[in-house]
Amino acid sequence: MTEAGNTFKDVVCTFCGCLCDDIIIETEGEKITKNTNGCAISKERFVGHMENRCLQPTVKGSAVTLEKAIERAVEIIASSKRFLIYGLSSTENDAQREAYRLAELAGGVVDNTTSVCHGPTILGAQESGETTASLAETRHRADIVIYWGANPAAAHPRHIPHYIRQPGEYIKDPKKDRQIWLIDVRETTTARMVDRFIKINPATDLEVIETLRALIRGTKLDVVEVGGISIKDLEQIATTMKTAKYGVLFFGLGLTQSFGRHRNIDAAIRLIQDLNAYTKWGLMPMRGHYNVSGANKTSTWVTGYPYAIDFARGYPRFSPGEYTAVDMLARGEPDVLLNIAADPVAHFPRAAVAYLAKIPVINIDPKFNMTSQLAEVNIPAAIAGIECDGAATRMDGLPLYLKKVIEPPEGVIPDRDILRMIIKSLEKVMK
Amino acid sequence: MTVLLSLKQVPNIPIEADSITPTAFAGKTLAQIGKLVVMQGRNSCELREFFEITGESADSVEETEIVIRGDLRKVKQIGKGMNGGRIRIEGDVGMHLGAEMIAGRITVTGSVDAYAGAEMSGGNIQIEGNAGDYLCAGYRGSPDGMKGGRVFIAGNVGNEMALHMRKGFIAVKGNVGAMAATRMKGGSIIVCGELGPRACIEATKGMLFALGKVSSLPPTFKYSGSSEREFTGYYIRYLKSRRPDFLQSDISPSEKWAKFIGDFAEAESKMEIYTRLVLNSHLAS
Ligand code: SF4
Repeated sequence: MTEAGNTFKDVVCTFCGCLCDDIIIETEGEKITKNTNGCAISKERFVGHMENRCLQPTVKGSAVTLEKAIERAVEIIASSKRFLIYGLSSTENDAQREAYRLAELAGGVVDNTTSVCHGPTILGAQESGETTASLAETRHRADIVIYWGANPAAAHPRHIPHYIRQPGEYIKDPKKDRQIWLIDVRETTTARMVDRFIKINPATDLEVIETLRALIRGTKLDVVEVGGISIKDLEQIATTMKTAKYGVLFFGLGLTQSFGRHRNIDAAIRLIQDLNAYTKWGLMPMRGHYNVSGANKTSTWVTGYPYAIDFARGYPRFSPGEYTAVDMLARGEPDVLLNIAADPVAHFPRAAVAYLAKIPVINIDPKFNMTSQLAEVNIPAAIAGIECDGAATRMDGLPLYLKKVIEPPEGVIPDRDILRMIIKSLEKVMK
Repeated sequence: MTVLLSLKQVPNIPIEADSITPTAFAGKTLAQIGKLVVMQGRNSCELREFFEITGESADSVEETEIVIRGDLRKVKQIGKGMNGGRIRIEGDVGMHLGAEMIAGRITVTGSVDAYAGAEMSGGNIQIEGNAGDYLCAGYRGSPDGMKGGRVFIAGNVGNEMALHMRKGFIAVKGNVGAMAATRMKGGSIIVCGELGPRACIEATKGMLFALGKVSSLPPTFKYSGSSEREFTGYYIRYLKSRRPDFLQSDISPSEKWAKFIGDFAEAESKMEIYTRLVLNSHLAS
């Protein structure tokens, strides 16, 4: 496992959806001492992996053995009627698969954090399909890259420097041969890194996209301005998009979580489909958590649906808005939550969190978070990609192998093994 | 003949009662009806655990009327796939009421949650209160929403009403939320109150009559003139014959209608929106 003493090359960074796979990690004993190539967030993630760690399983705040914690978790799950599993985006594929098994066994609901970030992306794709590209393809071929409602400078620091402002097979000079645009409602830090910033009025993304679609079709419209951009400028944007050799549109939460949500994405997908009648374009979501894309993939492989899956009837059913964790909690439906590798207490709206305080919560996470303060059962886990191996999926759908670079703290095991232990004892209780 | 179901107490965890349809009830005794399956979470339960069941059952679907009383907001899927007979709900009711309905009649004195009448292909639904989001919509990934039937809502409706609608008729007395009739491709809709923003986005065919105020339409709709329009009178007269209470004031035959067509983002752009010029002169230019 150790390559060249205590130096590991080509390590995959497990923080954001870029999954940069060129990180060099140096360790000394039980410590990670250096991260080369990673961005500031990546350095913090690796070098600071022991910060704020949860090291001891607890039940109602008192320290217990791992076996005792599992026993209590199983008791809670076995006595539930409407069991909910949530999270999964910051853990690796095998843990996700165990979570689906557990949901099926317990007749529960399993949802991942997609429901509060790129859920609309998936609903859009279910309406209209996908026109996707890979990051390598983008680097080699794209002569135009547009970011829409995304701020990679803050959320995906190496997206532009590592994947986009790099020379490729057909793009020799990434500064001259490739245009990078940003479309957003405010001038973010990314605006300073791109060749052109186009500001649109808030909550007009859908109108702007539909207008571009009409203009690409060559239709003359009545309006003189849409979303704060003159029709002349929109015509010029449409022409540039149509005459590009190869374009890629990256979109972020500014598009998925603003007024219109999945309708915005549906429209964006159809814009890209329309453009493919003239030239080649791809579309890609800027996925945030490192393996949220994997959560959708593994979920679709195993259950047929990407998130918000209910096994109450023994077979999987899909209904976002109904079986999504945030909606279920806000309506007061589940009677147990198993949270794994996410922090709903920190991110969910108040009504959902207020209900969470009323039901038993089982929390599996390497670190202390706001959900651990509320949880009846806390079980610490090893960090995938640092303390145990695994697989994760990059934002373009490419699966990557995650390496183990250091031993986990004493007694702490990977979350997939914790879930397997729960499943094993639950099988005995439920049969 | 009427079977009366009274909810004993509001369930803490929602129940799925797709077994409450005249088809499932017809030809059964009250005791047999009580044993019909409803799901609560992962548990399969019997109808009688949640409802007091009285009245008289009938042999045929056509003669069967089901009256349901209580706070039914945590009861989902009543009348799902219903094919004939009548259901009358006295109170508010949960999601998916009358979804995939084929024939029959549902009346609700209160309000309904999301996905009422989703993907219905026939029958009649009358709701005296409000309706949630996705009224008469298509489910995720389905190319077709409502495919037939008639729906009347006396209150307001949430977002994305009539998503993917292909055929049928919807009338709303109150206001309608955002993105109504998205990707509509047939059928007709009358909105008496205010029509929310982004109506008919990506719609390719169908008709929407906005009798109230329309603050905005998508930029990809084009104005196609204002005039008296004989056939709008036909739809108004139909609504008046069914629900005279929906029309607050008379609309004269000489009323001027501003017509918009779209959506020009699509290859086919035959969706027609008719608005009353007196209320919406800001749209016509
Ligand atoms: S851009 Fe993302 S994946 Fe790459 S090093 Fe930074 S945090 Fe890690």
